[in-house]
Amino acid sequence: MSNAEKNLISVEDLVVEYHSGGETIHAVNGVSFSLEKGKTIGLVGETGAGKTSIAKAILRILPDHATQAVRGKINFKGQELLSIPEKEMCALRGKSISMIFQDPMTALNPVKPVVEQIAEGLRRHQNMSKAQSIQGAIKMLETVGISEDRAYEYPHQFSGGMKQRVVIAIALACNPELLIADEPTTALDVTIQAQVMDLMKNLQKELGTALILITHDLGVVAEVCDYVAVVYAGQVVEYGSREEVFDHPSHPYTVGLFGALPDLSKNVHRLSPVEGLPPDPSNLPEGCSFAPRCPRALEGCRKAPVGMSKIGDTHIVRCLLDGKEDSHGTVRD
Amino acid sequence: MARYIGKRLLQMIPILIVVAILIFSLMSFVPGDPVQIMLGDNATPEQIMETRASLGLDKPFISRLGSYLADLARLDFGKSYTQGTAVGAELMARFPKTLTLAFFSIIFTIVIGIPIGIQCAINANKLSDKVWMFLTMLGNSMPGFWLALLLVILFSVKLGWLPSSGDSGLNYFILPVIANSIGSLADIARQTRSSMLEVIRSDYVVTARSKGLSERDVIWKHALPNALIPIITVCGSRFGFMLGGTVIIESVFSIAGIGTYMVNGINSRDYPIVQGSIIYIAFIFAFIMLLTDLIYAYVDPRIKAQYISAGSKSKKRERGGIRKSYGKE
Ligand SMILES: Nc1ncnc2c1ncn2[C@@H]1O[C@H](COP(=O)(O)OP(=O)(O)OP(=O)(O)O)[C@@H](O)[C@H]1O
Ligand SMILES: [Mg+2]
Repeated sequence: MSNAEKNLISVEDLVVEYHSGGETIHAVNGVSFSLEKGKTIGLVGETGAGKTSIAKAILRILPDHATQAVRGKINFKGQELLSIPEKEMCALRGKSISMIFQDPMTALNPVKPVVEQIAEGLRRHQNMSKAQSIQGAIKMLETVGISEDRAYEYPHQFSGGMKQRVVIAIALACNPELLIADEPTTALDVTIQAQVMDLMKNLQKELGTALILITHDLGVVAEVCDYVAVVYAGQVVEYGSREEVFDHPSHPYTVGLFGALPDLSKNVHRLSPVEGLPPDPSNLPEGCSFAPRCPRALEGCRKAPVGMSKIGDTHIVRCLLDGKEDSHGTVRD
Repeated sequence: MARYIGKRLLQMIPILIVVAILIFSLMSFVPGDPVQIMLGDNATPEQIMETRASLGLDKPFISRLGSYLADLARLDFGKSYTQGTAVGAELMARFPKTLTLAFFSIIFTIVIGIPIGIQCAINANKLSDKVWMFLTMLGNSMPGFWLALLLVILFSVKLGWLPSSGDSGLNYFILPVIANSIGSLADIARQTRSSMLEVIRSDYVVTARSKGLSERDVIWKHALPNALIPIITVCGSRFGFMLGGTVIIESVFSIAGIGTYMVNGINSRDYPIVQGSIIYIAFIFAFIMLLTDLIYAYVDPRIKAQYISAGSKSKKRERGGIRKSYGKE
């Protein structure tokens, strides 16, 4: 974490605000993390936690009409992504950084053959001719398990899982250095899920692609992630290496998510539901945003925002209890 | 696809027969006697009887309808009561005028209206968008004849650049085309804007952006083809209406088109003219709608697949067809 040069990307104090119906929606509230080349970080958290907003902020593809503010720093290989001109950002998108979108049903253009939707990225970034790019796109489709004779079909002729694979093929086409995968396997059945994860792992091995993996599947996190960031109400509430977080889940929210006994060796797949609802992002609580749901909340938790404290080598947690077991731990400032 | 087109063309026949029967019956029961209007108030009962017999109006309704339909089957629209000329020939003579006006009007509408809509969507809620939306609202609510008169005053009377009436050359059509288009142009611009706004915010446009495509490619290659799908229908029906003749514009600029022909026919209770014009309009409309649907299918592969699978149930052929058409690009 300390060595800035080593990091492919580092996100610092990222804030994303939307406006909707006259209200400000605080979707991301000061998220920081960094990632080295070839490593994988898993972003886990409930629906609405702000995971997709973080991803879109990195690629600078947040919806113009709804976004009120994006603040913070996103450093990618020395470039400050939030302030470089749009033209330079365009050159990075799809080439150095690409994204697999969450909803494959709507992510593809309905009036273009799928092969063309992959090929145009190749033409844009790899200086290919039309014919070359089509060849490249067909190869890419075969990589994700779609045969050539279906290449010229349109998205409506594909099943959800096949669309997901096309979305993946688009993202992988130019061998990105950073891949952001937003729940890449939710639309797939188990065997294909494994194939897709293998595909991404291979890419990582061959090209040293760094991966930001957004997922609800703890099994996937346990299997592929080097680091885990638990996101709650637009904040990272716990961060650490896979072992640290799985072996010593320290934030009450993480503990709740992982169920009573989280264990790397056990096959925990689904996040356990935590009682209560996440806070309204247009009206966040003053103190810790998890306090209203927290079984161990103290007086001090509700008063002022809680900062991050270091409890392990790379392990940090946003909790006054600092991961202490006893619920009567002293409040540290 | 050919099967589908053939089917649609055949479907037009029963539609036209029904329209013919409806309009014939309606005209027969509408108050006002064509013979009375033709001969004026001073006509004697004998004269009236005589004319009535010569026009065949003394026969019972059913037999008149029967012979009208029989004539129609031979593409004979009958003769005008008042002018004695063949309605079919007159429609044919007037059609080019109406077509010229309608064709250039729809081109003008599309070429100006759609880019305005796109620009507004791209700059949504900025000043330029607001100015254009105000202008299109004006255009939408301005009566065509009023604009026509303003244009004539400026370009014909004051500046003397363009003729104010007549239809004997293409330059005669410039002012009528502008006056005829403003309303639909404004309408198309507004519809393009809202359709485009919706598409620009859709996920696949975000995907296109995430590939690093330039904003221009994102708009023109990804957003526009999708945004145009609903606009095609609007343009089609606008064109259909224009081909039906525009009475006001034709009257202001003295263009001998179909609109004035039909209105004159209505005023003088000249049944064959009214019936012939209505059947012509029904045919034109059905034809334009078919054309619209074909363009629709060309733009949207989902629709095309429906048409083809309606013609043949084989899934393989569907794929082959689409693939071939893509290869041709
Ligand atoms: N375009 C938008 N306009 C207004 N609010 C938005 C918009 N997009 C997202 N939000 C809000 O921002 C918050 C974070 O949304 P985001 O999509 O980032 O969540 P997520 O963690 O990806 O959830 P999920 O797991 O369901 O995908 C949510 O409260 C959501 O309602
Ligand atoms: Mg999401």
